[in-house]
Amino acid sequence: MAMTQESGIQYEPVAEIGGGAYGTVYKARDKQSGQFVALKSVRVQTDQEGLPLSTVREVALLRRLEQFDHPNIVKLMDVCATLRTDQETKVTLVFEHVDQDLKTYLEKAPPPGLPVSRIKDLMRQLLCGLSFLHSHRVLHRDLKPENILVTSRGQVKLADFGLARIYSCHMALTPVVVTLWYRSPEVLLQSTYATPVDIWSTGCIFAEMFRCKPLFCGESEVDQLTKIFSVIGLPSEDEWPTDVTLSRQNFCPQSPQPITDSVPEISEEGADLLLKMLTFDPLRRISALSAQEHRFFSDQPDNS
Amino acid sequence: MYHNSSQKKFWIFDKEAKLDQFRQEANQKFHSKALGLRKPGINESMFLEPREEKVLFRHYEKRLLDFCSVFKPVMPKSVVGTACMYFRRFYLNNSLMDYHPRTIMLTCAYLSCKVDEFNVSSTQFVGNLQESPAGQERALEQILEYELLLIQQLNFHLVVHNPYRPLEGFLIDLKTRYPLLENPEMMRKSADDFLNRASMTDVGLLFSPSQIALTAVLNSAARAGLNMETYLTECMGLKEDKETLSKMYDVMRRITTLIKEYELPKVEEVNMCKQKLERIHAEFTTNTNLKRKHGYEDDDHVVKKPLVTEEEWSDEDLDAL
Repeated sequence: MAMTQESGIQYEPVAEIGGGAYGTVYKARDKQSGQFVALKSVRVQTDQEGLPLSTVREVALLRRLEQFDHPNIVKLMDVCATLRTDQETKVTLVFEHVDQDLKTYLEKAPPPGLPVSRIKDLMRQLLCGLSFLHSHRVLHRDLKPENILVTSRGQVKLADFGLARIYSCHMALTPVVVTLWYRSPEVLLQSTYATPVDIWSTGCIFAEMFRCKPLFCGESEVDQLTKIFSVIGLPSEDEWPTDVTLSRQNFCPQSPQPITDSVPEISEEGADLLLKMLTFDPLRRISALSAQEHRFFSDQPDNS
Repeated sequence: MYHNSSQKKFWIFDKEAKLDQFRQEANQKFHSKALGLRKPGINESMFLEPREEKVLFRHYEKRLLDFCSVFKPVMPKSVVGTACMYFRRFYLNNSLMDYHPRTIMLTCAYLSCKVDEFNVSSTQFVGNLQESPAGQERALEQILEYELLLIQQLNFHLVVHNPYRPLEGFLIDLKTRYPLLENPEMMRKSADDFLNRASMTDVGLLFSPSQIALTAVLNSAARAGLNMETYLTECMGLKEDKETLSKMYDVMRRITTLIKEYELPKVEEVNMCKQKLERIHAEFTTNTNLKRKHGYEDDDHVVKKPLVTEEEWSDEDLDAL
């Protein structure tokens, strides 16, 4: 289970494949099996209480989910820990390595973009992975194309789930800005949130599959909300959460615009599903399980 | 759910002999490592034999239970059960000569509080040791020193399924679906007692929590002079399934036998083994080749040095429990 063996290092870094706000991700080779893995390190502050409760519980949770071997969840293969100083421990999670993420996959798609049949397949798998996480009371909290991996065979795998709570306890290590583009209104407003946050992100990703570019590109929390309301309309006073500091009065009244203005390529069924995912009220937002049953996925021929 | 748990997949074994084999291997591994250091005056007779490790393991496990039973605020049963299971799993692959059980037992209790969200601060935790403030601080330093090692040795499988919830389930089931029993609550006390005794044996590494809980219920009924065979045949629908019923009885017999056979070691025996253990730890505790830096890997960074040596607080610090 440890990262070092008596004979030396078990995982040999090959290349840096990403640097987020919380640490670097390396592609590495497992010396024992020869297969490639992804090493993701998270720095955790320790104090007089030892390892933070959140870290202990989240890592335990990741280990527990691993037993299910779900096809749409990236496999956690190992967990290692290194003490860097008295106040900091580095926890390294060893995942199976997948060569590309959805962001790269969409960028590589030749014009006019992905066929609808492919979008359906990707979305079906994405929702399958998400409903699995939600059924185990796990929120992803940071769903975006970079965290959705696509294998060479077209299999979708969710990555970085369960890590958001580990991250949230600690400051970002670099000035890299954590993207707001896939954040739900309740998160942007700092209201209470649950599994619907991931459905909102999935809706944004769904639209991006058709558009080949992000749906809402805000530069700040307020700007992000403004861009959201320009499409879905400003929610009514009744819908506005009561436990938030940002008042509804900060935003101009706007009516909802037809979703096809923003996503012209989408079908009628697709538009219906997208609107159900981009519902302001999290309690009325569609669940991952219900979304899988939506008529958009019924096997009628597409114009693709 | 237990059915899909890491406990079922990685920490349930089919035979007691397998557990003995693991412990024997851990013991042998220490012997080989220690002899490999070629220290003058070191020979086999200095080391603990597997039988002696068992004596000390039982002694410290009992101390762990004693510590938990007088803990303030009152420690939930699930936390105690988890701590005991951590302790047992840890010494399945490690020797007591490698890591002192005095520190490991407290680390198990501390980690268990975190995992089961029984929120006590570290200061509050060591405040339960009948010790001077300096002694408590030393104990805490060691607990924090070993916390990550423990997590790693448990393979990061920290969620433990205890038999206490299934016991509640059976009692509810008896109340609602088994009218032959007037007052199922009267069985709670002895069933709880049975589970406490079970936690000091290997049953948690051999059987599922629901099997242990059902055995506790039937054992409790038998002690009260009640025959609950019809609960299995009628309520559990096993009347026709003779094979499953027979297997279930066999499992319950094995569980009961393991618990009946359990004996606390004699004081003289414990003291003799303890002297041996202290000698070993005095001899090897400072040797970094033998120690595994408490679970932290080398990372070309400063590795935390042990703040105190293990001898700085001893069993006497726990004696007032």
